[in-house]
Amino acid sequence: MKIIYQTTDGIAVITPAPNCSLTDAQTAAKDVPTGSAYKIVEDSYVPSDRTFRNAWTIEASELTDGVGD
Amino acid sequence: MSTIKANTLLHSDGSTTNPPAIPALDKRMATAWANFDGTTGIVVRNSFNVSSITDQAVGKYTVNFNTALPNVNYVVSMSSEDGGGFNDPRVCNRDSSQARTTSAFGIYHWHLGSSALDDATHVNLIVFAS
Repeated sequence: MKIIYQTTDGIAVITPAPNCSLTDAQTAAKDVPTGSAYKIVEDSYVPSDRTFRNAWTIEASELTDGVGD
Repeated sequence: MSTIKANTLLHSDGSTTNPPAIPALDKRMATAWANFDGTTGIVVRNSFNVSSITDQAVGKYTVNFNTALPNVNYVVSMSSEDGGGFNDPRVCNRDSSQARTTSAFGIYHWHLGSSALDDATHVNLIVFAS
């Protein structure tokens, strides 16, 4: 599971630690910057080819799963 | 002077995951640590008191603590692995462009050979706080 949010430089992708006791939703609320909208996605949603990693973008309208605390 | 001999030390609730507090020794123990792969998405191989790793860009990451640290004056030690030989070194530094807070800190991974940010196959980090 990954958590995606927009930054000033592109997009950030959060990977929850597997032995963390928090749920993905709790991790998203805590680790996404305050006020930033996020989307929780399957790992396969994130491109494995990182050649153009710094150019990745996402439509703001897709970030609908919550907002960072 | 007395000596305590024991094979197992547990929290009073009997849990093996809830550590007993040893106030005099807590500051000598790691507050958080992690080993992760920063290539092809993040893979957190193992960790303690780390809720997640954020991939910010090529070679730039944020380490998020599960339980916030008591203050920002914590010690961070990091290492990474070379690219396959002595002539291909990489380094990890704390990223001052990301604020050091009680809940997270940023790091970057630099490839000395190309003088550029580089995704890391192994980042190892350990944090001490009191």
